[in-house]
Amino acid sequence: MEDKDLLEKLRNKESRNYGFNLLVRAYQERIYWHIRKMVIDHDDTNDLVQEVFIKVWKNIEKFREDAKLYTWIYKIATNECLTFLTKKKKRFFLPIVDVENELSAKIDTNASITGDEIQLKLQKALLKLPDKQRIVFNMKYFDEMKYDEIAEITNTSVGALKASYHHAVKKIEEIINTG
Amino acid sequence: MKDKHNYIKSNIKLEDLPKKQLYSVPDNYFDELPGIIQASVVKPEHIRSPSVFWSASLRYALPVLALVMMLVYFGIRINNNSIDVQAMLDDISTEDLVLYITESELTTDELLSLIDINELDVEGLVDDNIEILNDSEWEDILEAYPELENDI
Repeated sequence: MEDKDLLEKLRNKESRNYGFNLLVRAYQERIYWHIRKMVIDHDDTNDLVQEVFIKVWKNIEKFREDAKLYTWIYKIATNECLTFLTKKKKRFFLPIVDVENELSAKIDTNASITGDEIQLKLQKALLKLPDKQRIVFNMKYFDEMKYDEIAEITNTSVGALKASYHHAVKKIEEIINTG
Repeated sequence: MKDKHNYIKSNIKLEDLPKKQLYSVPDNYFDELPGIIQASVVKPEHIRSPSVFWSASLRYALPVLALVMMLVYFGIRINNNSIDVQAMLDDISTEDLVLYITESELTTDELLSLIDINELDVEGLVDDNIEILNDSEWEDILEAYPELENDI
């Protein structure tokens, strides 16, 4: 179903619930994996995914159709991730390295995470990036999104994104090859 | 000299690595998630919110409750008063009672109608020193004082 059809259903009182159900089913997996790659833990991801869609429900009237629906939802999810990670660091008064170590430990111990050595190494290397750089890297490398879309989601220029991604790749390769 | 394996191993390019999904989700997670989210955001109209329910209940229940409490309270007071009245009567002496009855406008018949006298009561009232007259003795008295017959 196209965005405009979904939006039509969402804005009609009688079909709003049905439209919302369709929207969740259409985007839940992409949003889930986008968040999961950032916060690592499934339970945290589950909470954040629900928060994202609740915000979508509450703010659907404010959505301007000059942007894609998917981009708008992705933006909400990105903000939720970054806010969550920031709060995590503040709540326990942990320095960044400790939160990195905590997430790294989740990769090691979580039964729902499996992979060969190099893949695990890559995931741990990603944790060494700043959160904003990591999220940009994920969108470009794993989701293969265009720079224009990422720019809209992160409110960052295309040029800055290209530079950020390039530096992230170099840093990760260095970590993998020297680890 | 580095061996071939080490050289290759230490010069990994990110673009050469396969993009694998390392994370897994619980079974049926994505089947159930939409329902969970929908339940969070959608409130059925026929179910009133608890605050509305409770305010309506209080509006109707409180006056009834207040009335019941008042009835109970006054009921208790009345019972207490009745006991007090009884205690007050018990405190009144026999002489005062006799005086009251004598000075009252109640006739002997009216007084007797208020009292439930049975044989046992009569026996209790009888003083051993009072002579009980038999029928023939009564007849003699009535012959001497015929006006007494009207009083019996």
